[in-house]
Amino acid sequence: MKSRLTFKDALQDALPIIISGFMFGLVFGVLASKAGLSPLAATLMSALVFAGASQFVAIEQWQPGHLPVMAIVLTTLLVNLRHLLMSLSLRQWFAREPKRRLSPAFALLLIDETWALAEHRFKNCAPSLRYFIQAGLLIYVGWVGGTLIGTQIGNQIPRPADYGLDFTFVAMFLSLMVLLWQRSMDFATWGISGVVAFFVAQLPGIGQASVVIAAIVASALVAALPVSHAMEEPT
Amino acid sequence: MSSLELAAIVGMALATYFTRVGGLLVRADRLSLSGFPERFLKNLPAAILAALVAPKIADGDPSVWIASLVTVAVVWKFKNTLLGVAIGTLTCAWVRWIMRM
Repeated sequence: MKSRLTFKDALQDALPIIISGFMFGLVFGVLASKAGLSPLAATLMSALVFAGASQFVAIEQWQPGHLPVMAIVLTTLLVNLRHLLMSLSLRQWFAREPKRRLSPAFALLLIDETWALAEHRFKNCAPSLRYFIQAGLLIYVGWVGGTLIGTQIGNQIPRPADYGLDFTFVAMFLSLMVLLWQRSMDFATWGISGVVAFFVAQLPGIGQASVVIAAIVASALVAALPVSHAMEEPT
Repeated sequence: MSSLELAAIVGMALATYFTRVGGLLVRADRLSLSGFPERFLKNLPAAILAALVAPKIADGDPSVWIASLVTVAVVWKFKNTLLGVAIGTLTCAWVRWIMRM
């Protein structure tokens, strides 16, 4: 008999993520305001998109004068494409739920963390869409609230480079890379993408498209390598 | 907020929603993704991050290089992003402070 998940479970499981999500929301708010986003724009982005990594990537690409809208949207799509795999696997726990209930919950609240919580919990407890939504909304409130407060702090910081705040982007992206790292082939993805991005970025007028080009080339190359195929673990 | 900014934010949201409900759009008997498409999708996030980071590190100064090494070491050891970002940023600020003296 599988036990039922309660609101207390959702709160307990989500608590560490709520706290770190709030802290990252603060960082995002500060950096977004330094990148030229108004508090309203930054908070709206957190409220509508709610996908941390892609939002940090987007404000790195943000140039208020001539905003590369297409490149930003395309990069967001690529950064978040991994959610496709998560929604495929998570869906199997909710075979009885109608899609009209699943779709809005997945669209807004399916992030790496809620996916991991749900997959972990549903192994021993009865799958509950309510648990998924509760945990997701708690994290959501922390992230959006953190962003709003961060934008207010950001306005008080006159020279962000003195505090290393321009490096915070690099630190953020490096940290995520380390956490995503799974096998030695990932070093090849890093290296190829980094080198291609560096050289493509030298082409005149290429702008932020270099990121998309490098990522697609590197991901496809490494995915096509015979050694990558052989090393794949059965799932 | 300009209309271009609003367009970028709404576009980002729609692109993200698509990736999240994408798994619900396919037929139930085609649930699993494997082989090249799966490996390609799994490689993408790290590839994008590397593409963003590499030019910044290449164009950086010693403060960026030292702080990058510290960040990677901290996250590798403690598996904690927030800690890595905090210590990395502080290291960068500290090296710059020393370089200004």
